[in-house]
Amino acid sequence: MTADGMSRRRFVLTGTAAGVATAGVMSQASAYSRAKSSRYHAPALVGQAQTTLTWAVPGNPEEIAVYESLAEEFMAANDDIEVTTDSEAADIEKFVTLVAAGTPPDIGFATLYNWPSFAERGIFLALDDYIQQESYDLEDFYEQIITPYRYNGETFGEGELFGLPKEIAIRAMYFNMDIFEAAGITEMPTPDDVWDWDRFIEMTEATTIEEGGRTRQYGYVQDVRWTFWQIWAWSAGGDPVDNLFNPTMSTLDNPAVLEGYQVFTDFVTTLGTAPSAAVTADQGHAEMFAGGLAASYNNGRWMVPLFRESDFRWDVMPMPMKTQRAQTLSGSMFGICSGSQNHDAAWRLLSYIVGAEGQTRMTELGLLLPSRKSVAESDLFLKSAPPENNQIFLDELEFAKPLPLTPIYPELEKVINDQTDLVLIGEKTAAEAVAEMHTQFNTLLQAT
Amino acid sequence: MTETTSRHPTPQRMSLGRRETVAGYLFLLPNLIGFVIFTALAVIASAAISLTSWDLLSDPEFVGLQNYIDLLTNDPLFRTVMWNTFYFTIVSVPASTVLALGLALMFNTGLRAIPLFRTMYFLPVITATIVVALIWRWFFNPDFGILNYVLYELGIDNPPNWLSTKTWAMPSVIILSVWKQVGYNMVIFLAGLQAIPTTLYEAASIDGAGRWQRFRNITLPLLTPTTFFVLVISIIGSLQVFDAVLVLTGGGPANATRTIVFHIWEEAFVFLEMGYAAAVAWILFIMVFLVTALQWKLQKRWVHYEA
Repeated sequence: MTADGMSRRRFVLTGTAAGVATAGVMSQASAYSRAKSSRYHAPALVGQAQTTLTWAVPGNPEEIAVYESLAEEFMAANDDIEVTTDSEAADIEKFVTLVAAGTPPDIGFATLYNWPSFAERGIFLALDDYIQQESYDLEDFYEQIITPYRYNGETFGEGELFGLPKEIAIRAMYFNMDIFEAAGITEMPTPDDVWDWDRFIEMTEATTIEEGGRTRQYGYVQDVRWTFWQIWAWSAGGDPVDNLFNPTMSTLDNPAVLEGYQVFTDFVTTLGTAPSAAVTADQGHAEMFAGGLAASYNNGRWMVPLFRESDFRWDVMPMPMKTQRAQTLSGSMFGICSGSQNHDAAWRLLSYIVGAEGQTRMTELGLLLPSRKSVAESDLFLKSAPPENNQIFLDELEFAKPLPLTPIYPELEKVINDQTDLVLIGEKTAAEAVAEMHTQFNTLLQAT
Repeated sequence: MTETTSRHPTPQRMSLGRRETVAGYLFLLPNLIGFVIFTALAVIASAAISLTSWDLLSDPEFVGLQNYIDLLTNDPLFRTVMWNTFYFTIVSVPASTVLALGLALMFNTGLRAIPLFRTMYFLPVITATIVVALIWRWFFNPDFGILNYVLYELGIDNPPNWLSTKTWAMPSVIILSVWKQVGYNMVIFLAGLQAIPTTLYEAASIDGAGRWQRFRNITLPLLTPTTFFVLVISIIGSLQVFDAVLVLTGGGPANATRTIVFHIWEEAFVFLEMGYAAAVAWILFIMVFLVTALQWKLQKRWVHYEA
């Protein structure tokens, strides 16, 4: 005990009080931040049985806001169900952990390429019983985007349906009209005017400007992942595997694959009309195009809100072709997790959220190509300008194929990316890289 | 001992010494509980997991030592990963130690602006690595980054393509890590420097020792305990570099910056091979343990503790 200063007892009491207060404040703060991703709703009237559903919602804050308002409307129409949206559960690492812990969200989210590894492990519930019971109309969905979510235990594309698609991802070619005009291109491409590779390459050469040893404007900026270069390979007639829905062996040794891959990597390595990975890594491909530093850019419709803020004129054009038009199909789905305790209630929510109303709202945001024909072929989508040529997204859907659907997709993608890295830094030729990919693919595919 | 000096009657059951021991443990308890649950149990669990093949979503399957055998004989990436981590450590640790010592020596004066400089150098340490790495990615941009702009102005016509070449990718990660870590080591060296009695320096200068001689014969030897600490901590940290790699290069290009912890992370959370990743983690643990044990044994040779 000290005569002056604080007594030990006083210190302990004050310290504990401060500690409790801090803990209280921090738990409130964390509850608040969690509240941003999940909503608090007033409990139902006494006497009503309440089912609580958790819905994994993906995307940026604007998309999540749309999902939350959909949840509100659903709850207004369904008194006995309470819906909590959870944006973290849509992140694959968190989702996998939740499933492993036995507490998956009731409505789960998966992209087309995560879905195969979930399929194998029975993460999602087969929906066919519900579809039959309620005569749920699948006709309004585009066939190509429903089929991949079928699985019969061996192959994808057949069997029971495990998810309902929320959108289709088609990667169109954006182009900067102002740059085209400055380079002397007077005729802007239209949906019917499909350029061939040579014409496209010429354009990139005409629009690439170098100044003082550094490139100030690129003809073409591209994401270099498999999703993007496969389009060129397909356009030359080259499939990567024997069966996209049930791959057992690699067909990367088809010369058409190399043709497409060569053209694609040449933009960076020999022509210099596309920036190297280092330049785009932090600038970001999209940001480069949005900043007016590139004449063309290949990516999905979700770029539209970003580009609408740019101060140059732009639109979309069909993907350039060699022997046939081609496009990569991807997208994502919502499904009911097998581990959910409330299958029936979850189905009611699921059928609501992929309904026309929900897709209409998302389309209003300008972010996606809806998976429902009624919404995609309506003026709401087609007249949502810029871009004027929205029709191209629907046209290219006709030619779209998915990348191989297999649980080992991440391993295959890694092989591709590693080899592409080497080609783009000049350590391997495209031919050597494709040969190596072919060997490794076969090793991986035969091990399954 | 207690009855006569304390103003209050001592409780019959416990002596003061005992009471203080209990109080001590009670204070430790929160941290200890956290440690046991989140660290100790996790470490033990990971040892068990490393003996299985587990994808997190299905049940684990016991495979014995197969994971360890695979990583030593069947994983071409493992060797690359070990080499990359070793390369990173052997460059970044001496660099950050020497630089930190230099800075500490510079700042070990009474100038009024010194606390400001010390804060400036310490700020990177407390900034999240993710944030630091995102900004440095802009710096390293070959066309638009400030680093190459400066190099260009200095007359270097072809500044390196930092993050996209195999030669310069790891040096980029090293530069970032050293920049981030040097403040921490500097603060520790400063504490060590201030513990050296100034009378020794005075005596030495009276005897005619020059600055370099004073440094070599007084500062360095008396600083060895601090240097030892800095080296041990730095090496343990460097062997586990991850966030910088993840944000700056993603392990690339072509696995040139893929480090052990990055390998563990990708195997575990992208390829869903929990058992294999746990085995790599245990190999890392054994490595760190051996290196630290070696350093500990060697300290008798070069660390002078003041008598």
